[in-house]
Amino acid sequence: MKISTGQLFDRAVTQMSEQKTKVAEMQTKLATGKQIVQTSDDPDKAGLIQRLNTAYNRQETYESTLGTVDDRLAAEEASLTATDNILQRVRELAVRASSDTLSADDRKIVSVEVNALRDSLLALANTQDVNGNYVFSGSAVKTEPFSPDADGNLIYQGDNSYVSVDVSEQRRLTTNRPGSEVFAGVVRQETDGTGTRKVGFFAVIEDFSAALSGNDSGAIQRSLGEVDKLTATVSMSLADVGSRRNVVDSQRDVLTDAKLRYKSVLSNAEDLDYASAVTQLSAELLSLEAAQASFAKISQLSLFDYIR
Amino acid sequence: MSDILSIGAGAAQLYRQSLATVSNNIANLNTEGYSRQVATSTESMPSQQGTVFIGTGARLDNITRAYDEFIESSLRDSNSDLSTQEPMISYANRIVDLMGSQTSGLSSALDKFFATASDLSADPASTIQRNMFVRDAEGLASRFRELAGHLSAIETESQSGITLQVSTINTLTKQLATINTQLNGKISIAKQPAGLLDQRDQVLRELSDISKIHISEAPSGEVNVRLGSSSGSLLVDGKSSLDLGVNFDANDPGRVDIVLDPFGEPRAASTVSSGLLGGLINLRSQTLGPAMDGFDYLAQTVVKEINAIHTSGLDARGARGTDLFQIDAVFDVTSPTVSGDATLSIEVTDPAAFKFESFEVRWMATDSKWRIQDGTTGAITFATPDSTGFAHAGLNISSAGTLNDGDTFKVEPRQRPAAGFRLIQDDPLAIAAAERLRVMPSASNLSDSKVTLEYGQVSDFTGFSSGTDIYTLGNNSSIAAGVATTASNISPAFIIPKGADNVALMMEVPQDSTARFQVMTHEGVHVLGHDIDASTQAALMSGDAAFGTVDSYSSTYLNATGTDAYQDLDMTYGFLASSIQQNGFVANAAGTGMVAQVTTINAQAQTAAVRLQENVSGTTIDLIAADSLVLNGQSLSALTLATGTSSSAAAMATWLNGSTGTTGVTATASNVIRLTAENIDLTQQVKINNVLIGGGAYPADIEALSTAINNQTTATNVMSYVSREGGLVITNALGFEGENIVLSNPDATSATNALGQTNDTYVGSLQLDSADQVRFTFGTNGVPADLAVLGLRTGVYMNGSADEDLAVFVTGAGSANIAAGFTTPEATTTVADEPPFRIDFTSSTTYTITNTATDTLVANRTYVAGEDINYKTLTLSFDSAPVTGDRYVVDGNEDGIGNNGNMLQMVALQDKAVLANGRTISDGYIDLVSTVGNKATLARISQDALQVVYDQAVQSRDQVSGVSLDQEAADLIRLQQAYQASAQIIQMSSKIFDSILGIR
Repeated sequence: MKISTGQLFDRAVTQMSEQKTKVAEMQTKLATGKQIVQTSDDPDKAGLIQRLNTAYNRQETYESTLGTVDDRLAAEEASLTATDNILQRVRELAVRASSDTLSADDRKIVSVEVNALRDSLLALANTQDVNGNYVFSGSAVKTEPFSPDADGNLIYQGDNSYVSVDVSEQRRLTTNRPGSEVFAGVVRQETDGTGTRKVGFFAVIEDFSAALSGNDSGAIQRSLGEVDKLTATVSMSLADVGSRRNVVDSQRDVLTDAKLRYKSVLSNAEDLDYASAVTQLSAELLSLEAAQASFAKISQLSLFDYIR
Repeated sequence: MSDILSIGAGAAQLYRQSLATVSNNIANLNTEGYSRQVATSTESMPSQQGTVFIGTGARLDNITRAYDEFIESSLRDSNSDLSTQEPMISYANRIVDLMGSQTSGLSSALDKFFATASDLSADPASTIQRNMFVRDAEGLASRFRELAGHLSAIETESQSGITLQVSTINTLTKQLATINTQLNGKISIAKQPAGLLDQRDQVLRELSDISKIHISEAPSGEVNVRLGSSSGSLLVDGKSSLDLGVNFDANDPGRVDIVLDPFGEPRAASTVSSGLLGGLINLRSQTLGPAMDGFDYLAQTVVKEINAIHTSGLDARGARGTDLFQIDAVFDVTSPTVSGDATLSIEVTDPAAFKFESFEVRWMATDSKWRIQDGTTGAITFATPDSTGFAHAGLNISSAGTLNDGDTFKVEPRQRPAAGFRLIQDDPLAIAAAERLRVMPSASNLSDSKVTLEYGQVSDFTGFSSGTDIYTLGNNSSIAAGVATTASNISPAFIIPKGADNVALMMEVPQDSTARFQVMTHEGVHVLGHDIDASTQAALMSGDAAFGTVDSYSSTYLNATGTDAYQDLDMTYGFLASSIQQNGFVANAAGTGMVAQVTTINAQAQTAAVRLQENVSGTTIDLIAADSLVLNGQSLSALTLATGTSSSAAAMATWLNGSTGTTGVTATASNVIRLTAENIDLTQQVKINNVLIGGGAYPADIEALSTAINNQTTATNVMSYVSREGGLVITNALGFEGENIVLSNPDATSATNALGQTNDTYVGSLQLDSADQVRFTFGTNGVPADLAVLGLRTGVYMNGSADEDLAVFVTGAGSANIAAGFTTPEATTTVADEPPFRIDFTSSTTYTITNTATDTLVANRTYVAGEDINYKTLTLSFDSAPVTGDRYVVDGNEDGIGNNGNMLQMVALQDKAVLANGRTISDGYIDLVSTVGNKATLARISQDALQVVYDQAVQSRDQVSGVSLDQEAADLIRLQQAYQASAQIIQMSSKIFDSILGIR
């Protein structure tokens, strides 16, 4: 078989440049630490990596959402705990005041304290979170949830929406409880035979205060029962917030796990196995060197050298 | 001796020539397309000396090319195949790297958009999050535009690549034609110069690199070249060649048309499927075109889906969300004749007026005007620009730079959604994060049942299944257009569709018919009609599945008007004619000009012929019972008919005018019989009101007949005159308006008379006139047959439109002719009806739904504990049963800026399979990239395989035609030695000669 001189050189050059390309590719992989430097190297795998990245980014989004939710729930919890304590105090006062040993003046003094406590309760019901949003006004977060209407009665101004957010692909967590539920009123059986009537949260406290200053034992007794109910509602909300904070904590663990899992799958798909890459680079270099050395030798060979 | 000398000299010459050939080979070692040449020698003719033949040496026979035609053709073919893959690999890889990049691809922008949406859903009231959402929405839009720009750059590049390859083909075929001309001189290829043939083969090889070619070679070495195969287009035919041209379709990047002889007789060239050109065409049709189309589809879907969600929510100001993204048109502006530096910029200002049509603008410096020529119709308009440019077909066009007279720009709009992807809502507070509705339990609710609200689609709501749309009756309420309709107490006969305006549904009934209209809503509210008993109520709501089992009949709004009416609709059941306000101009008091004046035209109604009824009972009867009809709110007394008399329009007018004081309606009766000249039959006689006209004489003409009638007026109370058309008009004499006219013929055998009319009693009609309105409704006993006595049809009138379908029943017995008039709504909206409403639990098992906008009780229903409440497209679910007195209000979520319902929908779009192939947006994009990538991979695999084939072909050719220095060196030595030997022969012959000369 005849090999023409031109072909001999061409072939050697082609082979060497191919080998050099391989070495350069390996070098880029080693420098970036990625198996796939450009999508065209392996489009399918690149697609997989994009999907995994999307999934991973989502877990991070959920994590930041959880942070926001936790801040919000913490604000709720703090104000509910304080509310619960104040209601306990109101209840103590109610128990004390219901005792017949208290004189009308004593009860008036208690009434003053009850009024002060009512103001504290109002402040708590109108709690705002770090972003300046009212915690207990449903989704009308810029509306003060409890403010007096034209008649001076404190009524609920917010709405009844529950705001829930996605904290994982499957889980949606409610972040709020509307004030109408937390600071819910009681159903009062009227003694005058007019039937049942809904009495608002603050109206109960105000009625209690009025009963004290009016020295109305019957009304004080009734208020005791009603304050009990208010306490029960608030306690339930407190328990609810607590349980939701627990969910946040456990969900955070779940997300950390999920992130780790995605990270490891992503690493498998994306990251370079340095040991094998370095070995491969050595092998490629070796063949490049061999090609160059052999070409140097072979290209020297010419019959003309021997014709003198 | 001389023979030896000549042998030596011949050999020396031969070897010198051979050495020259070898030297030439060495010299052309690196010449592209060079074929090794070999000098062949041949023995000279021997000379005969006696019986012996003595050789005379050798001479150069030929210098041949080392060439194998088969190898050459397989080299060409493998070259074509190999270069086919090249564009696919390089361009497709660029597309993949661009679109699949982590940083510049779409995936990261989509991820970011949805992540920010999710962040915003966690804190919807935050202005910071809203700003970030706007920023990332802009990021998404610009990423779409950037990628579209890159794709379009690749498209342009491949386009110029194709143009270049085509022009290269043209150059090469021209060269080949020239070579053919030169080859034409000799008959045999063996006689052709080797260099010329090498040149020919080199051109053919270059051609085959661009496209696969088919070659047929003539004995002289001339070649004819066809594109592709033996049946392809002939490019080179002997000494002539044909040019190729190429056309692109700007709206379809996948389409490339190769044209043969573009400047002569253009015709489609045969398909180019391989070679560089074939590869480029394949790239566009199989990879680039689909990728661009797919990306555009993706852009369109993203815009549609995101806008649909965004417009269904409420923004931070409590307003309904507007479109977030928009797809702008993209314009290709070409400027064939611009002498200066003028450029044009175009913007769509009115998307509704903008049409996707090309046009051309030319600057007319003398008038300072633009001349605009429509690309399709060729119509020419002119526009004078101001500082902001000028408007044209929904566009604003402005120029920059110096305009010179005659500067022309061609403008071609393009449908490339990805390139025109734009964010149009950049106000953070206008981002619609909140749900549009909310449900609020009343503070005084005794139960603490929690309620949740769900939205449905417009399509989820099932309307009436029976009854035809009134539109099918046609917009023609005349008597003639009436459609016979059989009464049914069970299913609706007609449906007045939601949005239908100015509805008049007219019923014509025969005498004593009991047919009547009843109009009901989907929820069982009886809107118009008659009082019905419980069994009829049940029957009406039994036939159509639309009446839910929970709805119960309600007559609260039956025939109510004004603010008491159902949904405050202006509806009438009975007969209605209203006064009209007309705007006009009258002369002013001074008589110097005109002033606007509103004229009120009285309400007027002309009835058809009233009912003719003869009372032969012997007692007075009621034609219309008392309290059957109510006119303008005034109940009318009974219309009686004494025994032995017949009803007449005159009597009815008198009856109606009896209550003009309270109704405001004046009735005028008239009885006019209009006859044409053709009707008149002068061969017969006529008796009017039993008086023989003409006293037995036959009138000569119509004029005479009229005179004869008028001669008898005192006896008949009827007069006549000849109409302008030459016919005859017969009417009551003064003071007898509206009386019946009896026509008969003294000849009892004839059914008709001189007037050409049937012998019969003819009744008159009424004209009703009122300053305000003529409005008949029904009293307790009234039915449409009562109105029919007055010659009136009963109608359902609706002024304005309802926001729901209304069912129209024709109840009673028998059949009635019904016609309709209406205005159809301009467009059917796909936005769900969501009026504000409240639900009141009237007991633990019943509730009402009240539309709070019109304060209309729209439904009376039974409540089944544990079941959801559905109203229109909305569903309310309760976690425990509400109790009596509980109230739930559903209204707009205007101040619910902390609500994130809509943003959650936006986040959920991420996982929604919105693409036609059932994929999510992200997956659809990754698929797009993978498809292109796989094409590139496939091309690379093919290339690897084809490279082997090509290398083999190159090697084979090299074995035959290549120059090897070693071989040449050996030849050189061999020939040099032979040359030296030849020289020795010459020297030897010289010595021999000297020897001879030396003999003394």
